[in-house]
This record gives sequence, C-alpha cells and structure tokens, in this order.
Amino acid sequence: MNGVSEKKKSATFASLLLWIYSCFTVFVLGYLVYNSLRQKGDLLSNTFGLPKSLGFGTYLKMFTEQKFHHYFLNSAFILVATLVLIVLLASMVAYALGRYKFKFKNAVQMYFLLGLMFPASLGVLPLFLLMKDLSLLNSYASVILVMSAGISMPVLLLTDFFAKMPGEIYESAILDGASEWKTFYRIMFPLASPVVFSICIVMSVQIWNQFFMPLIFLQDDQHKTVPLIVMKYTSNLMLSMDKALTASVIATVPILILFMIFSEKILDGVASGGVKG
Amino acid sequence: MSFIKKRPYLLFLLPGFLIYSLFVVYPIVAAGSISFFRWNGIGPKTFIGFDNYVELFTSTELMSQFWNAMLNSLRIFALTVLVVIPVQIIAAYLIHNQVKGYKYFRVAVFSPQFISTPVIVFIFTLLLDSNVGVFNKVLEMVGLGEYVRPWLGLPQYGIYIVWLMISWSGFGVGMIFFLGAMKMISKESLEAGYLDGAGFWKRLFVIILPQMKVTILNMVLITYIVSMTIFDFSFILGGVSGGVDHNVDVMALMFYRIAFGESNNPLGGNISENAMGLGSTVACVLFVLIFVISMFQVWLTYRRREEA
Amino acid sequence: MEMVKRKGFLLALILTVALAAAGCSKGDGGNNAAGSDNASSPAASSAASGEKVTLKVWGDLANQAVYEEPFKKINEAFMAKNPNIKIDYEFAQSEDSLNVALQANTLPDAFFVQGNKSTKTAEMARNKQIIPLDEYNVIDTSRFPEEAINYTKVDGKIYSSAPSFFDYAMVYYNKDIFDKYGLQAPKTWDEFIKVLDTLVSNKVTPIAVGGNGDFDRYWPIQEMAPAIINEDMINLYEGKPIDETRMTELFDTYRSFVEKGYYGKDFVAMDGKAAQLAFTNGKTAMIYDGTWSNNIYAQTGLNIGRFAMPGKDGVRYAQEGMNNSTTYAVSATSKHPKEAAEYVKFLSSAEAAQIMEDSNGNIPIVKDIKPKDEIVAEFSAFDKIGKNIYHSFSAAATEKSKPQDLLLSEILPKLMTKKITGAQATQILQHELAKK
Repeated sequence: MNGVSEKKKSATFASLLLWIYSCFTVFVLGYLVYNSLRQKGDLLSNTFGLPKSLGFGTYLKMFTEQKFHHYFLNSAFILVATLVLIVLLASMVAYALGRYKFKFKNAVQMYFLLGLMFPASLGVLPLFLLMKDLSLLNSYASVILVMSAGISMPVLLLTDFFAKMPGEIYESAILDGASEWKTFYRIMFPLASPVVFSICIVMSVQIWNQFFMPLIFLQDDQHKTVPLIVMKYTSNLMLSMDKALTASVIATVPILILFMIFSEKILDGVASGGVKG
Repeated sequence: MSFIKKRPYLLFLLPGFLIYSLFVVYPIVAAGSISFFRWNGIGPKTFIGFDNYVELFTSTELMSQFWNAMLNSLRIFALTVLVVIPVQIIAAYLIHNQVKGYKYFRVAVFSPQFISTPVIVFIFTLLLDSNVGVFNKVLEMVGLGEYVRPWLGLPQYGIYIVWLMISWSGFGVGMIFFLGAMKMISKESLEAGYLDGAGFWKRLFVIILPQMKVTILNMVLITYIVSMTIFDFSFILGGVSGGVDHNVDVMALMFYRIAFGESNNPLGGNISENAMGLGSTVACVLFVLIFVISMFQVWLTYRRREEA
Repeated sequence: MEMVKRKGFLLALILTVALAAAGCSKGDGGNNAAGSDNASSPAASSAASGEKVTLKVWGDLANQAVYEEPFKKINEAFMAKNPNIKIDYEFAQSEDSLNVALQANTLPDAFFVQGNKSTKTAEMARNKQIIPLDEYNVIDTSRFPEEAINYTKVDGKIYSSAPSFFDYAMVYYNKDIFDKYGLQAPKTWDEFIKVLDTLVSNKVTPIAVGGNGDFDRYWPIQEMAPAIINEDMINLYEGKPIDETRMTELFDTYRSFVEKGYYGKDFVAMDGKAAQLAFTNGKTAMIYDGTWSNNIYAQTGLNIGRFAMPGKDGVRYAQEGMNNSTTYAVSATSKHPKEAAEYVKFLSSAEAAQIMEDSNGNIPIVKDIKPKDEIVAEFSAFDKIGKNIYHSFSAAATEKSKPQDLLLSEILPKLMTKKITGAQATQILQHELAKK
C-alpha cells in the first residue's frame, strides 16, 4: 500500500491541531497534579510562583486518615456491576430493535429514548419510594439497578450497528442450528465490540462520576462512593483546597487505566472482530 | 413458549424493557404529574390542572428567562454541531489511521472527562485569573500586560466560555463513538477505496462519512439533548441565577433555580410556595421540546433505513 | 479460536453479574437486619429499661469537611454520658436528600435545621414533620439571648436546639499593606472611606469582591445596610414603610464603591474564589467576607487583621445571623423522641458548644463558652448587632412578592454594572413591595 507516505503528508496539519489540543490538555492536567503536590498555605498565599515544597503528604493522608481506598472499593464494585448489566441489557434491546422487524418498532425505539429527556433530580422521589418498597435503601443494589436502567444512550447508538450487520451471518448461524440467543451472544455481540467498548468507556465515566444517585440512596458512610468524597472537599474548596485537588487526581487514575484498556480494545477491533461484508 | 418462538425479539427486549420501565419511565411519569399540582415540596399538594403552564407562559418575567435560557442552550447546541462534531470526526479519523502519537492523543483527549466539574473550573480559575493566572502572567511577560483579564468570568463572553469548557471536557466522548463507528466499517469497502486511489481525506468523505450517517445524526441528537439538560458549568460559573443578567443561564439551570434554587441558600431563605409544581412544569416543557426533536430524528433514521 | 475467547469473555460477564447480585443481596441482608433492629425496638424504647437505643442523625453534607471533627467529639461525649444511646451520625443531609426523606417519611431521628433563617423549618413544623420540644426542656433559656430562643421557635413552640454562636460579614485586611501606607483599621465610616481613598490614590485595589457570584456581590450590602440605615432595616423588618431617600442612599453607596474603583477594574468577572485568591496573594488590601471564612485566611500565614463595618453613626456593626452548626430538630417519625430530644438538648449545652468552639473558633453568644483564641476576641470587637438586610427583605415578602430574591438577582447585579441608579433600585423595590 502506498497509504503510509501519503497519509503522513495530508494528515500533518490536522495532526498538528490535535497535538496542540493534547498538549494544552496535558498542561492543564499537569497543572492540577502539580498544585495537588503543594502545601495549602503556599497555594493560597503564593498561588502563582515557585512552590516552597512539593510532596505526597496530602496523598498519604487521603489513604491513612480519609480511607480513600474504602470509597474506591465501593465505587469500583458499583461500576463493574452496573457496566456489565447496562451493556448486556442495552445490547440485547438494541439487537432486538436492529435485527428484527415488528410492529410499533419506532414507538419502542422512541420509548427507550425517554430516559434522556428529563432531569434526573425530579424523578428521584418516586424512585426513592420504589426502592423503599423493595427495601433496597442503603444497598448497592439500589444504585446499580437505577444506573443500569439508564440504557437510553447505549440503545440509541447500538441499534444502528446491529441493523447494519449483514443478514447472511445471522441466517447462516440459524441454519447451522444455533438458537437465537446463541447467535446473539456468540456471533453478533462480538462483532459489535468496537462500539460496545466505546459505550463501555462513556458509560464508565458516567457511572464513576455519578454522585446524585449514591447521594440519595446510599446514606451511610460505609456505602459512600468516590464522587461523594471528592464533593466533600470541593464544597468547601478554598478551605480544603489541597484535599480537593488531591482527591480529584486520585479519583481519576483508576478510571483512566480502565479507559486505556477499553480504548485498546476499540483499536483492536478492526484486526480481530471487524465486520466482513 | 411458541409465542416467544414466533417473536424471538421479545426475548431480547423484555429484560431491558422491564428494568427501564420500572426505574426510568415510571419515575418520569410520576414526577411529570406534579406539574398539575401546586406544591412547595414539603406540604400538601393541591391539584390545579394546567394553571402552572398558564403561569409559565403568561408571566413576562418567566418567559424572558425561558427564552434567554433557551437561546443559550441552542447556542451551545449550534456551536457544538458546527465546530465540535466535525473536529471530533477528524480526530477520530486520525486516531483510526494511527497517525504519529495516536496513543497519546487518545488518552489526552479523553482525560478531562474524569475530573469533577468544580475542580475543572477551579483549575481554569488558576490558569485564567487576572491576579494569579498563568495565562495572564505570560501575557505580562511578553509585554501584553494591558490585555490581562479574568477571562473565565467576562460577562460579555459568558455563554461562549461555558461552551468552550463543555467542549474541552466533553471532546473525547463524541470522538470515542466516532472511532468505534469507524472501526465497524468493513475492510473491503476501505480497501476498495485504496484501489480507486482515493486520497487520505477523500476516503473520509467518500467512503467513511456516508457509512456513519446514522452515528452522526445520533450524535447530533445527543448533543441537542445534552445542551438542553447540561447544567453544572453554568451553575458553577454563574451561580443559581446564571450569572449577571442571566448571561450563562441554560434550560436545565432554569429548572433547577425554580425547583430547588431558593431553598439552597447560605442565608436560609424562603421556600417558594410552588417551587416543585412550577419546577416540574419547566421540566415537562423541556421534555416536550426534546421529545419533538427526537421523534423527528427517529423518523429521519427510520426513513433512511427503509430506503437502504 | 476467536470464538473461544469471546465465550470466555461472556462467561466472565455472567459470572460477574452473578457475583454482583450475590454481593447486593448480602448488602441488603445487612441493611435489613439493621432496619428491623430499628423497627422492633419502639415498644421497648422510651421505657429506659437499659436497652440500647440507636439514633440516626444526619449532618450537613455540604459542610462535612468543617464539622466532621467536632461532631465526632460531640457524639463521643454524648455517648459517654448516655451509655444507653448510640449515635449513628452520617453526613447525608443535602437539600435533595432532605426533601426526599420528608416526602418518603424516612427522616432520621434528628437532623440539622436552619431555624428561623429559613421558612422551611416552619413549613416542616406546620406539616407535623418535626416535633415541638418544649416538654423535653432542650434549652436552658436562662443561658441564651432572646434572638437565639426565637431562632428555634415556630408559632411559639421550640423545635430545635438553640444556636450557641453567631456569624456576620466583616472586613479582613492585610496588615502589611496597611502598615506600608500608614493606615489603621477604621473606627468610623469617614475613616473607612479615607482608607479606601488612600489606597486608590496609591494604585492599590482596596477591596476584593467577587462580582460574578450570587452571594459574593451581596456581602458588601449586608455590611453596609446596618452601617448606613439600620433604623430603616428595623422598620422594614417590622413591616413599616421604608424611607425612600435613605434606601436610595444605601443603594447609591453600594454603586459608588464600584464607580470610585474601590473593587478594582475587573471584579465583575471574578467569582468569590478569585476574590479570595486576590486577597490571599496580597493583590488587594481588604476583602468583605464572613467570620465563617476565617479558617481560610488563618492558613495563609499572612499578617491579617479584622474589623467590623463602622457605621455612619460612629458605631461598629455586626449583622444578625445565628450559626446553625449545632441546631438540630427531631423528626416526627422518630421511634425514640425522648432520646433524640436528649441529643438535641446536649447540642444546646455549653459542653457541646465548647467542643465546636475549640475546633472551629466561632463567635459565642453565650457567656459560659470560652473563645478559642484572640482572633475570636477580634471578631467580638463590634459595638452593635444590626439588622440583616436579607432577613429584613424576607420579612416583607408575601406569596406574590419576593423582594429578597429581587435584591440578589436584579437590584445588586444592575447596580454593580451601573445599569440603574440608587433611585431606580428603590423604585424597583417599592414596586415589588406593593405587590400583594
């Protein structure tokens, strides 16, 4: 292929813009990390200027005094469980909408969009009463269920891909005697993996940063999640500036790692799971 | 059992449908019905029919707030569609083609997503502040001291600053979807492009974009929904009133101000006697505005699929 | 090969879901046990049979970082005194969670309230969601000033613990900058203006104000109102008509500070945090801020002084504003009202207040609390407690008119950006007050 050299030339300018954007972002994040290493008094009275000292003292405190890892484990558990459920439910619904033809399909598709159209803070009271009736208050299950029910966006984005998949694959699998379910999870679902993984990324960010639902449903300290602990410091930002910055940095790291794993999978997509038309 | 056998889609539809109906749709319907009541959020509710809607649409003060917030939300939407989405597609295309440094871009572009909004705004204060901001210090150093400003809060640019912050922090989301969509395009059609001798950009416009139409339309829809429901940047930059003269006010912030705003007050404050009733009314109007556009979008996509 | 990998992936998925479900149900189990523990005890409660009672108490989530340490000590002290009561204290109370709990009848036994500062307390009392505490003698009325007692009352009945502290907005100043220009903390209004003018003529921005924040642009007028027209604030509070000339004088003064450049050139674009950073970095000589922000400035290591706003009548004014850090109410759904009232009673006591004082350094309104240090003594260097303009405006509010919201959202931003004059501001206010 002659693509390589030609690709280089035409992509240079656009790449340059991307470089500038990325460098700016890295600079902003670097400034955040840098300031999180500073002493609070220094940060307040000498905001721009050379630091008196840099150190991981605040980081250490977050784990020793504030038990950050405890909130972290809560968040991680909720994230994994929700993510698995949401991907499973959403891709099944999207598969049904994309693969099959049936009456009222448009209406059903519309129905699954409703969840995006209303401020979540308003629906919280009926939801709370529901959880109370199910006696799920103060349990992880409440938050996991509520969040994994939020399948509107994944369904919207996935449906099209299942619709576009060539029908021959489906038909030949059925002819081979595979059940509808097997065809879905063994053949069709893996084929959609690049999109599924991009959904995984976006949803994990949403789940990880979600503070409203945990705030309402997980009221005791032992169930609290990372965003709530970050909020504890950001709501008094000037007073606990050092901890607010540090907590934000630590809260970012695990999800960033997850992101790298998933995005690697997306890029892998074309090599292994790409659709053969 | 044969009922399901004949309709295999039910097997896939039902679990999601049940959970979604119970935990998403039911609360929305229940909350929406509050708009027919007069209610302060604590005391007893009084049924008043459509009075809240009449109040919203006949009060000049509320209507001027409504149009101002609506216009600001639409500004964010238009700018995002015209500027951000094309750039996201190009960025995804570059990463898709694994240009030099693509692994680094991927992480850099996406990472602002992970940081909580108050901290993002605070870091930008530290960068753009007129007294202690890095940016202004640099201006001073290169002899442009007269241009030193607290850039983050300039009222005349209010909503555009909000838009810039949203775009900067949310850039990676759209990009990652476009990237996923590009990876789904079949190798054969790409290779056909190579054989035709199509250049780097031509391949994007002639082969890739047409196959991504639905994804792009979906992203436009999501952008619309997000610009109608986004709230935190405006809230942090302009407080509950949405800045001096409501210059950063958006639809979701207006809803918040009416439903919860007055009681969230460091001075104590009075709870408004119809906060929840009127707040739900704003939410329902907002809902209709989103719903109508979404219907249009689904119809558009559906029509396309029929053609194909 | 590919298929095997995928199958493994799916298996892992399903396994995780199963595990998750197991984890959840375990979580429920624990919770249910705790719940039934609560539910089973009402009969045995109040009987004081020596059985241990657990009280669920909600603290103010937004101020968790500030109250965490003192409340830990307060709760420990309380439990040591009352071995039969266990306090399960969680920082779970936000505006949202409280509203939900009120509607769903899941209020904790005791939770924090803002007393008469917010009409919410009255609303909850009238809807019988919190209980009157008169019969439990939660307040030793001989210790508290009348305002503190009034704070707890709705329709003549006591509904919460009494506040032991109060807060007000004052001026913090940078002593080094003051020394450099030979200035001293002003004791009269004229001295204050002189300080401002001296600084302006020396090209120093006198006062930092965050013009872009709802409340940051409000503090100046909270300080000016009693200093300039305290009598009128009292009249407004008592429902008497306002004197337009004097109200205009107040609004004009607020605007003239902008025009004379006392706040610098770009303050409209700065928020409260930017204003605080300007002051802590020595870019301005003073800042309007509340006593509650003292701990921010104390951390900077700067040489900082404080003074209360001197009035035109030669008197230094604080403004009314009870501190709600220790004011808690008992919910009507509590199964242990007697024990919960006991806790609320403890929060009114000198012992609990002293713990709060030693930790946070507030201004005591009760004589038997020892101030934390000399800074608190400096806070107490005012001559008179004036009216709080927001509360005066709120007192004049009716169902139709909301002058206090208008002040924050219309009058102040427009005065600050010089879009209206003081006289026009007064007309806007009169127009609102006339709505009935």
